[in-house]
Formats: sequence, structure tokens, C-alpha cells
Amino acid sequence: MKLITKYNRINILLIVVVFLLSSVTLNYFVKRTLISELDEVLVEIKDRADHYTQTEQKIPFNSSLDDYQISYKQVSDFTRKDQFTTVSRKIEEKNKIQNYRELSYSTTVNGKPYLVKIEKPIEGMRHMVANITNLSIATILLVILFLVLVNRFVLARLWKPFYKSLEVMDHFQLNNQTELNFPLTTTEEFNYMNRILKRSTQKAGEDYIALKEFTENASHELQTPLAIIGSKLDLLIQDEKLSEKQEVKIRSAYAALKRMSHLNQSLLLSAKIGNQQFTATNTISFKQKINEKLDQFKELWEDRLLIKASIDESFLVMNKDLNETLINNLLSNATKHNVSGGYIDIKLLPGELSIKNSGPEKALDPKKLFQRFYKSEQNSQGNGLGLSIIKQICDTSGISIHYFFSENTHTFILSWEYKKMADLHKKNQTNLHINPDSTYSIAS
Amino acid sequence: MKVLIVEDEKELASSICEYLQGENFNCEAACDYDQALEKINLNSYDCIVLDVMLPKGSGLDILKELKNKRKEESVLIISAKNSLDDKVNGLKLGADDYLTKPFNLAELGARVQAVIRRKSFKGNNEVPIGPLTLDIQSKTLVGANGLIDLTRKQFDMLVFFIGNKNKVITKETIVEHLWGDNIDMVDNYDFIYTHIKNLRKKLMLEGCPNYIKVIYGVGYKFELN
Repeated sequence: MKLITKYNRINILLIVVVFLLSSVTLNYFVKRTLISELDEVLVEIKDRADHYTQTEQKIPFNSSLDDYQISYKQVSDFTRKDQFTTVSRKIEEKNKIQNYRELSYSTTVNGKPYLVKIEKPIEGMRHMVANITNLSIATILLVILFLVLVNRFVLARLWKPFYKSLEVMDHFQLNNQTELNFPLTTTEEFNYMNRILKRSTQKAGEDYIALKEFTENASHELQTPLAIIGSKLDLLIQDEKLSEKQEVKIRSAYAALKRMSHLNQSLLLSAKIGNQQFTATNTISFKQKINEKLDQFKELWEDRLLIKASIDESFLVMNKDLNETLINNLLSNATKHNVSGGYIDIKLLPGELSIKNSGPEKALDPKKLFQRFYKSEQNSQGNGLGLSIIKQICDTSGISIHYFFSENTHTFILSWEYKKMADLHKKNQTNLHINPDSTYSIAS
Repeated sequence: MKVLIVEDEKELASSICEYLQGENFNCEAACDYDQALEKINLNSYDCIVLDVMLPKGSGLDILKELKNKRKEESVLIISAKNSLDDKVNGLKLGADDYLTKPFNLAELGARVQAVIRRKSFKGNNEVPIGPLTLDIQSKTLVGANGLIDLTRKQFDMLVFFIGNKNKVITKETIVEHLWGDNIDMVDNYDFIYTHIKNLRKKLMLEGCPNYIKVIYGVGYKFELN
């Protein structure tokens, strides 16, 4: 629920309650005042009537035209002090209930006891109450209408900078650092908020860059010691007097070193892609590149896997090195996570590459498979960076990637907008920023 | 042949020197920019193995200096920076090859040999292997009965062995050399055995002794005196 709606609800509820209370109170006091006025009039009539009966010693005549009615009823010995009551009576000819204020008391006329009743209709009061009620309702409605209008036009305007700041924050991306332009406002709270937002995003951005640089620098610094270890092992195996036991140990050291170097290189590559160091793009014939790779890897697959390839021509505008890494990682992934006697099925269409491979019976976790260091099996020799690098490359190259699993078949489908790539290629050509060796014409 | 290793990591420089020493190379090492310039000005070398990041200066500046002085040395850059720009810059400035750390000494050995061969023996790229002759330029192996049919991988493997003759090379190093270092596809390098076996068979059919020795559990050694 919007803050304004929430505020309005409380506000309107309160207004209604206050108005109801005030109109009830008003009603009560007006009624009381009116009745006490009426009672005064009745007492006045009583005084006049008493005066008449005292001086004339007979019951006064009461005209039906008078706005009050006075009646004398002879009673046996009876005394009553002034007593005011409100009575309702049905008027037959008008078919409605009429309220009266009645004053009753006892008196003696000509020595006989009488019960006197003076009554006066309380006509005006009903209208008064109705008016007060109507007025209250009208006022409530008016106030609500006014509130809604105020909120709609005034509050919406007051909150505008807030929503603008939200919009700015919405576009904030850690890996795409541009200065955030928060709106200038005259509202102190919003300015305060914007200052804090700006400071926090800047800090987050700086931390993020520092972290990325750390990964790159750390990987970089690791390369020299790795080179030294490798070179010492290379020299060690030259020794002809090595025992078999020692050789086994050296082999293990080599294997560990290799894993470490791979991990390091992958981290470095990942950091570099993240730092957008592969910005130069070319039009690439995917067909040619894949065929080159298939040729390069064919000895590795011999007698182990069945390779089916159906390669149509397809062009891509992307970085050359990233393209190579992408194909490498995809094929290497399909090979490593295969079963013996399995297959790899590669299909390239304009705008789509699908790589199917047989593999373990369990699907990869679709939520995690592109995360760094995700491994379907913990003891796997892979470093868990291959797929995350594939994803990174796809993201930076405008390619979308999806994973499917069915009946021991793992499929990765990469798709890109062929038309868009073709346009991009044309643009590249007109700008003449492209290396002529790697350009291919795109059939329209 | 004289080789200068310009590398600030003394341990790495000493490994490279020790490895190359046996291959008729005479190695010297320089560990910073000034020392490297001094040695280059005083002596002439067949090949310079050059690290890019050096104390007191950049290896690329040394390369510029060499080119300004029209020195003939072959230059092989070794660098921890495997960014494309560095590679392109290095080669633009006239380096003959580029190798990224960490590398195998066998790979470095083969590259140094190749670089020297390309420059020093202009045109003459024939290497004798016992009764056979390996022509690196035309990618052929010629025996007494004429051309020997080798697959491309077998030829590349032979060149790699020649570049590291009498050295133990691991299976991993051979696979990396032949299939590129970014294949982490196979966890088992035993398939290389088939290729080695076929190459050995072809060489022995031409009357060669068994040059390719198996060093059990580690790799192979191409023994040629």
C-alpha cells in the first residue's frame, strides 16, 4: 500500500470519527438549549395561567390556535410540583408522530384541586437536528474530497524527488559505474537522503572496484611464483637418478600446479571480463571458428566420444579472444562432463548455437550452474569457473544462454539477434574500425 | 650460442639458464633494466629472453633500444601480463615471439630454438635427425627413400622434441604445445601415447634407432647425440 493511501486511510477515519463525535455533541447541546428555552416558555405560560386562575377563579379558555395547549383535570387530593416531560403523540390527520414538551403541576381553582398540563410542540428541533446531521455529512465529504485532491496534486508533487531518487537508484549497477545524478530539491529530508545514497553508492562502487582489482592483482602476482615452481619441476625431472617413488610425487606436484595455474588463469580472465578489458569487437564467422576448434580437438575425442556437427554459417559481432574462450569452454565442458562412449551434438544456425552432450543422469541446478565455483559433484577436478566465464562472455556479448536437461542429455542453447548483429556489422564497416582480415560479408 | 635472460626473478632466471645450458647455449642473466642495457651494449647475443615488468624500467623500452641501435638479436618476450595489448605492443615493437607466465621450460626451449633458427639460419632450416633431415620451413621430413609421410601433429611433435632434445618432457607439456594451453578438456593425457607410438614407428621404419624414450610415469625424452 502506498504511503499516501495509508496516511489517507488513517486521516479519513479520524476525520469521520471527530465529525461524528462533534455532531453528536452539538446535537446534544443544541437539544438541551432548545428544551431549556422551551421550558422557560412553559413556565411563563404557567405563570400567566396561574395569574388568571387566581384573579378570575376559573379555568382559562384555551384556543386551538394557540401554539400551546393547556388542560385542567380535576383530581382528588393531589399535589405535584412542576414536572417537565417530553411526550410523543400520534397526530391522526397528519399520520405522524409529534413530540411535545409538557409541564404538569397541581393547583387549586375555586378550592378544587386540579392537575394542569401545559404542552408545546418541539417542532423546530427536528429540522435543526436534521440540518446539523446533513451539514456534518456534507462537511465530512468535502474534507475528504479536499484531502484526496491535496494528496493527488500537492503531495504527489512533494514526493516527486523521492520517486526520482528511487528511479536513479533503480538504474544503479555496481559493474557499470557512472555518476548518479540525484534531483536537487528544496526538501531537507530528501537532500539528506540523496546525500546518503550518493555516499553509499560511491563507497560500494569503490569497494567493488577494489575487490575486482584485488582479484586481478592477486592472480597476476601468483603467476611468477607458479612459473618458478613449474620451472624447478621441469629441471627436477631431468635428473636421471630419480627413483620411481620420487617421480610419482613429482607427477602429483605437476598435476596440482596445473590445476592451480588453470584456476589462476580463469580467475584472471573472469576479472578481466568483469573489468571490461575486452571491448574491441569484430565480425566473426562462427562457422569458421567452430570448425577450427573441432579440427583442433578431434584427436582428443577419438575413440572416446561420438561428435555430430551440423554447422551452418552464422555471424557474430564480438571480441575475438572471448569468442575463442567461449567455444573452448563450451566444448571442454561438454567433453569433461560426458560419459565414456557418449556423444556431443553441435548445431549452429544463424542466431543460434546448441551444444548437446550425454552426461550424468542428474540435471545441473539451474539457479546455481552459472555461479562461480559451482560444482555438481564436490570431488570434480574442474575449478567451477568454466560455466561462469561462459555466462560472463555471453552477457558482455549480447548472447543469451539457456540450459536444458532431459534423459541424460545436457543442452546449452546460445542465441543472439542475428539481425542486430548484421546491423552492428554494417555500422562497423561504415566506421571502418574493423580489421579487414576478419571481416566477412553477411548475406542479407 | 649466447642467450641473455632478462628476468628480475632470480630463481626463474636460474631455472631458464640451467635448462638451456645443455642445448649448446651459453646463458647470461640480467635482473634489472640497467644491467640488461649494459649487457646488451657490451655484448651481442643470439637471443634475448625478455621480461616486460622489470625493476627500474620496462622490458618494452629495452626492446625499443635494441631496435633503435639496429641490433640483430632475436627477442622472446615472457610476461605475466597476458593481455592482448601487451602481446600486440611487444610484437609491434619487433619482438619475435611472446610467452605468458607460467610456462613450461620445454615450451620456452622450443620457442628459443625456433626464434634463433628463423633469424640465424635464414633460409636454411634443415635439421639433421640421424639419417633423416627435418625441414622446418617446408614442414617435411626427408629420409633415404624420399619424403616421409607425417601428419601435422606428428610433425609438430617432432619439431618440439628437436627443440628439447635429450630433455625429459611431460605428457602434459606435449599436449599443451600441440593442442593449446586452454584445453582443460581431458583429465587423462594417455591418448598422446598413440601419437608417440605412430611417430616412433615411422622413424624406426626409416632406419632410426628408438629416439623416443619413455620415462615411466613422467613423460618422454628424445635422445639424439
